[in-house]
Amino acid sequence: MIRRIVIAFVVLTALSAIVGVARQATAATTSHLTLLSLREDRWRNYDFTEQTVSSNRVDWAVSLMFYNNATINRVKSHLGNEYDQTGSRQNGRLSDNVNAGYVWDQDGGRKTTLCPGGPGQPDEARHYRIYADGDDRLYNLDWGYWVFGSDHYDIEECPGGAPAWFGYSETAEGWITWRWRQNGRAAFDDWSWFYNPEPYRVEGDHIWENNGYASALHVP
Amino acid sequence: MNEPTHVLRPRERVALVVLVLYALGLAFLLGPVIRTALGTDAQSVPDLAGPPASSGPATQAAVGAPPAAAALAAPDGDGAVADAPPLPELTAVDQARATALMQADRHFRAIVGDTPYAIARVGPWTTSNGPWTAEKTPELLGVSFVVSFEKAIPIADKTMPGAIYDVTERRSPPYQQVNNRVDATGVSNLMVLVDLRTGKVANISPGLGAEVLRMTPPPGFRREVPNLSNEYPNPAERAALTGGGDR
Repeated sequence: MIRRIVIAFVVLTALSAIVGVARQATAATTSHLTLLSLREDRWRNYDFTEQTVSSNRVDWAVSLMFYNNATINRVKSHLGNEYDQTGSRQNGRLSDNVNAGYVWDQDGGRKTTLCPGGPGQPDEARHYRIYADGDDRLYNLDWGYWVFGSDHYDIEECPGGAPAWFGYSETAEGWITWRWRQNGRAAFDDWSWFYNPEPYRVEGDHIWENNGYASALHVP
Repeated sequence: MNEPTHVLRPRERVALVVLVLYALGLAFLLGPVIRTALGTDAQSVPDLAGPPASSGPATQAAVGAPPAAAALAAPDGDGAVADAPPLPELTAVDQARATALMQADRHFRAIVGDTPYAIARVGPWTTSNGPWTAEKTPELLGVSFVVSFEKAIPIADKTMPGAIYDVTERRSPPYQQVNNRVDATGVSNLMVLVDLRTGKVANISPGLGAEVLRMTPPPGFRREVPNLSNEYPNPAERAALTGGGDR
């Protein structure tokens, strides 16, 4: 029995080590940061690496909108059969009632592989983050209860001799709407202009590619 | 004549329960493998860079038309964002020079061989803005290409230059160069970075969807670029870790 406990301990320790070495992309720069609105709701069209609204501290373009009856937990639960690992936290900026001011929300999101490029793990992970205020959802008359998010790939993220890269948001977005439909829900690709087009460019290890349109995903 | 009734002894009961639990566990563990082997696993994701063009149930009937779209808002008290720094752009001369450098690179030529390819993406490769650097205007390092193949190719024991990016940007150039030996399959595209300052191909990576079987640095390779991890999410801790993070 003692031997079994020791083996379990070693396995858990190894997994913890893998979790500990997963990195995040360096922050990046955009010339398209702005504030979006619908009725009384407001939100920034990028998430941020720090709780500072700055064009020099953005992480990824917001390109997902879950609506009708969404909460952060419902979204993560519905995508949980593929996106079952957690990532590092970033920051969303929003207001559920513009007259009541703005808040930050932090989310580590969910990714498809814990430590891409690590021993025995795939080279790539697809990763999304979802934001809302204190009750894990926003509300307006047009969209009902809703949340928004960003997405990207993490490539060879675990350190070693392989260079790590992060990005390709547009392709990552397509995979999320695909998975959403495969799981029996409705999704509308590239449904609304979110004013955040990022033509292909590489900033440090940050590979930008986003067409500026967000997809809408229905939560029953 | 009555058939003798066999009553399970306590040890047999325990053995039976263990056997049932073992069978359930085995089914749980092997189920996905069997479903995948039979091609009946609905959750499997095709090994492609992008998702299939159309899949899943029809959506329109379920929810009707998509909801109203978002709009651009006035700052409303959240503060206007200061003008973003101008991002470097590529000139035609930059692009032509980088293309020539890529096409002449011996590693690139060895990987691609006679396989026809197209340049699917081209864009600037710049320095970054991050928690470990001062806020600044990104500077042009070179050119980034995505080179795509009509059919996926294998890569067998080829040298691929890699640029391990230094997020503190204290190095010059801001990456550590390593020549990895690589085996990969299903390579439908490559990401190539050409450093215009050094006049060299700094990086060739298998693109999205490829399966990298081996990526081995040369013997004696030592990573010199700091590995800044998520274990230090607090900006103050990051600054302490990197000594301020300025270039």
